[in-house]
Formats: sequence, structure tokens, C-alpha cells
Amino acid sequence: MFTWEYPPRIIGGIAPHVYDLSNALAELGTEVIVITCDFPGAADRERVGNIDIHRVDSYRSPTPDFASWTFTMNSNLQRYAAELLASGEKPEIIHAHDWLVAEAAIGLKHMFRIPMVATIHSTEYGRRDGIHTAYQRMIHETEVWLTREAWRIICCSNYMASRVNTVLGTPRENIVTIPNGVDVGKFAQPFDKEAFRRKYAAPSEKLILYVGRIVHEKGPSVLVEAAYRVLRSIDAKFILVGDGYLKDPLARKVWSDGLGNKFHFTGFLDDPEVKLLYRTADVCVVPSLYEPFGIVCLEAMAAGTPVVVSDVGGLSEIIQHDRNGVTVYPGASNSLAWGILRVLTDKAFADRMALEALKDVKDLYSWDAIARRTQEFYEDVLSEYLAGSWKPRLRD
Amino acid sequence: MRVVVLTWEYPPRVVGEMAHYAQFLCRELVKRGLEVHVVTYNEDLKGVEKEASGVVVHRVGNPVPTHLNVLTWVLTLSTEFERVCADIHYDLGSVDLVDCYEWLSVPAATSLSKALHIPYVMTIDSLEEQRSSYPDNPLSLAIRHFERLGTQSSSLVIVKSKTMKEEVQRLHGLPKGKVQYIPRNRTFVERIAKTYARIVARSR
Repeated sequence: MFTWEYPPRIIGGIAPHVYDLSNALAELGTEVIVITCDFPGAADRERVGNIDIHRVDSYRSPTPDFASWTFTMNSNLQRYAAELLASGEKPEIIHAHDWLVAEAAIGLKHMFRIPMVATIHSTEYGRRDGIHTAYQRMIHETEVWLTREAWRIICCSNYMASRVNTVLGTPRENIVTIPNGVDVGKFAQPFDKEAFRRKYAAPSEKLILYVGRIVHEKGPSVLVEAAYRVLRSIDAKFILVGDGYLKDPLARKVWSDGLGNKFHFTGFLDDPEVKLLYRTADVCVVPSLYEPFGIVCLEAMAAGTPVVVSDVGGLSEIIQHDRNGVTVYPGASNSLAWGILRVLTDKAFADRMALEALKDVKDLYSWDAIARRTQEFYEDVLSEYLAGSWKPRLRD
Repeated sequence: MRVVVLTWEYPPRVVGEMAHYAQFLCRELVKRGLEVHVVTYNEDLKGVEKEASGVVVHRVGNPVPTHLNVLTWVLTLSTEFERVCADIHYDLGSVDLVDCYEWLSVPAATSLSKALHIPYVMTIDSLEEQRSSYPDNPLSLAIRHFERLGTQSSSLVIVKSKTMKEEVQRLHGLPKGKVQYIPRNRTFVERIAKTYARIVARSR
């Protein structure tokens, strides 16, 4: 596993993903070697169960820009791994996560002739809504290079797979969809729900939860509009967890509209607190306008909380309307308000959906299920590799 | 002996002095019975060419065309150098020695030496310290990082002047004997060939 972040170094979503995937794979008996950047206080080399973690000096001198650092760091990771692999520790598959480790993984693939696969978590095109500068083009081209060199690509949703297909030009048949996972066990610790609930809402108020960055594409503005409609029918408190450039403007808006006491913009909260909020909420809403996967939706499902989501991207693939959740039109506040009221006014319906959702999470999105699918994926690649002639065999 | 020369310039792509030097040396080495492969950059002439002289030239493009500085340009190109050198090693026969020209080839030469146990010599004509008007800027620092890596993880550094030998030793804190001065006079091909043979013999 090549990843630029691995706990305790956590910058974005790749660290928890690789951590959970590696642990689940190790649980199934796969030997996992993680090669990643160093981090203050973390051991350079560590063995946890079946996982061998190597934290490599990631180049600490100043560099002209982030990409210059990334490529220099890759050179260090590659050199370290070359020595490690040459000393006998030969993996059967090299698994790279995003363009951030492309250079290291591609070079090693050729020098050892080991098949390399890559997970594309997101694309520069998607992150920036297009390619606008030479710097962004360099990263975009690195992504194209990685997907071209990889034996196969993993994406977390069919939506993302079709984006990688159109944006990076990867043939659709080279992309396999394996979803992200969620650990139901982490939502099961006992806690005093009533006491916890009082921190956030009055007993008469329904608790409506939003988790995510407070930015345009996640749809918090749609939620605020919908909230006004919901509040005409029932008493509720809207908790918005997360930070973002829309947080302050939206908070000012709800106060100037006279409904400030019905909203709580918490800012960033740490993980255990968010997990308890999921379990306490009466409904969790995901009003995204753009969503490659939708991990928030899965976490709410794992917490046993009914969900109302917009019918976009990865969310459309997770939720089937009226079975395991409610889908609403993206960007339409009246539709979202309708969905929220539907869940809040029909308890039997909401409970039934939450149960179905929990069952889905256990069947389809447990890390165990995902690790099994990843193992099958590795085995497919390996059998193709073994049948071919590209091998590290010397001629003389 | 099978030698791979990693150089970012080789005729017809001529940027500085190294291109002609490389071509002259490689041709002379072939005459002395060495098998010489040149791995170099040329976006318009990608592919393998066997020169009439017997030198085999492998020209590659940069897998990432857009760059903002020479550092990232070199690092993505290095991966192509690694691919081609590994392909020579597996498909044509094991490589005995890599000659790495300047810091530009160091990332590839170092990884190859670690991965495939191919020893390498580093040929230095100029140093970042002298080229850069402000050698402590972040870009020059990174270049010097690779320059130093090359002087340390190569088996030998070859320079063309006495001054350069002193400079390299002083700047990178190298022990005596790590840098060899080979003047480019009538006997230099002979001396390079002998040096190559010595390094290969030592690493066996």
C-alpha cells in the first residue's frame, strides 16, 4: 500500500480509508506493507498484527510548491521501497492511492515487474471544477499517467467510475467499483442518550443533523431554505457540523431571519462527538449537489438513523427511495422539506427504513465485505499477471 | 559488459556539452567491446535506435508533459528512465553498470541501484552551487539534495577537472578516493573503460 497519509498522519479521507482497508485485509490473512510519509512522534517502522508500517523521511526542506514536495517525497518513498523489496520482501501487488504516490508506485512496478493497481479517490478536475491552470494540468496529467500505468483502477462508486472514465480517459472496463466502508461497531458504545441530547436540543425539538463541510456543493443553503418550511409544521433544531466558507454567511442569515435559535453551527467536532450525534439525531440529511460517494450517509445508516439524501452521485447508488431512506430532488428545498417531514411524521416508516439501512451497511459496506471484494480484485489481477509474459525474469 | 548511460541530452537533442561528450564516449566504448545503451529524453524521436556505431539509443518522452519547474519535470521523467532501464535489464540481459549524468539522472540511478543491485558511477560537469545565482532557494536546495544523494550513493564520481574534484569533495563532504579526475585527453576513453571495469569487478 502506498499512501501519502496514514494514521496518525491524517490530512484527508485517504488515511482513514487505507487504515480501515489495511486492517480488514490483514484480518482476512493478507500480509499488508504500508509505505507512507513520516510523522512527528510516530514510529518509523511498526508492526500491527499483519500490517507492516514503514514511515519514510518525506523531505523536509522547503520546496517551490506542493507538487514539487510531492514528487520529491515520492522519490524518497521509492528509493526506500526499492531497498526493502530488493531485500526479499516482495509483495504480489502494489496498491497506490491517488496521484500523490504515482511516481513511486509506477517506477517500482517496472523495476520489480509487480502488477500495480490504483484507487482514484477524487480527480483534480472534480476538486477544482475543471482544469484552469498549468499547475492543475500537471496534476491532472499525473492522474492520467497513473490510471494508464495501473493494471486496474478502483473507484468508490459507479458515479466516480464514470467520471474517471470521461475525465481521465480510462477505459470503463478497467475500472472496478468497490464502495467505501463503515464500521458499525464504532456506533455501538453505550452512552446516556438523554443527557447527550440535552446539549443540543430541547426535549420538544426534533434533532435534524447535517455533517459535512459548509460549502456550496454540499447543499447547506438548500437545507436552510428547507428548514424554514419544516419549522412551519414542527418544532426542530438543525445541527450543522463542519466548517466552510458558507458557515458564517448562513449563520448570519438565519439570525437575521429570526430563526437563529433553531440552528446550531457547531464548526468542526471531533470524531466521537459526531458519532454520538449521529445516534441521537431523529433524521440525518445529506442535501449535496455533488457527491462522489457519500460517507456521511453511510455513517448515519450505521448509527441506525433514518436518512434523507439528494438523488445525486454516489448517494443515488446507496439509497433506494422508500426502502432504506428518502431521496429528494437535489437543490430543491421544498422537496427536501417534504422528505424531512415524511420521516419525522411517520415513526413506523422511519424505523423500518433505518432497519433496512443498517442491514445494508452490514451486508454491503462493512470493511470485512469490502476487504473480501478487494481481495477478489487482487486475485483477478494476479491471475492475469501470472498468465502473461511480463515477469521479473532475467534473460541470462 | 553491458552499460546504461542515463543522460537528459544526446544528439540530435543538444542542450549543453554533455550531448556530444556522451555520443563520443559511447561510440568509443563500443569500439572497445562494451555493449552501450543510452537512455535519454527526446519527445519527438521516442523509440529505440541502433546507431551504425553500435550504440543503442532509447529515447523516451516525459509521461507528464506540463511542469512548472525542472525538478518535477526530472522526477516524472526519471520514472521513464527506470522503466526503460529495467526493460533492458530483464529483456536484453542484465545491466552491469549505470553511468548517471549530473543530478538529473540521480533519482533513477539510485532507485535502480537499490532495486536491481546495479552499481552506478556519477559524471558531474557542473554543480548547482555554481550554476544558481541563489543556491539557497527552495528549488536549488532540492537539486542539491539530489546532487548530494548521487555523490553519496554512487560507487564513484567522475569529473573532468582538478578544480571540480576539489569543489565536489568540499561541497558534499566526500572521502578521498570517492571522486576521480579523468582529464578529457587522448587517453580518457581508455581510463573510463578501466574505471567501469574496476567498479563492476568491485561490486561482484
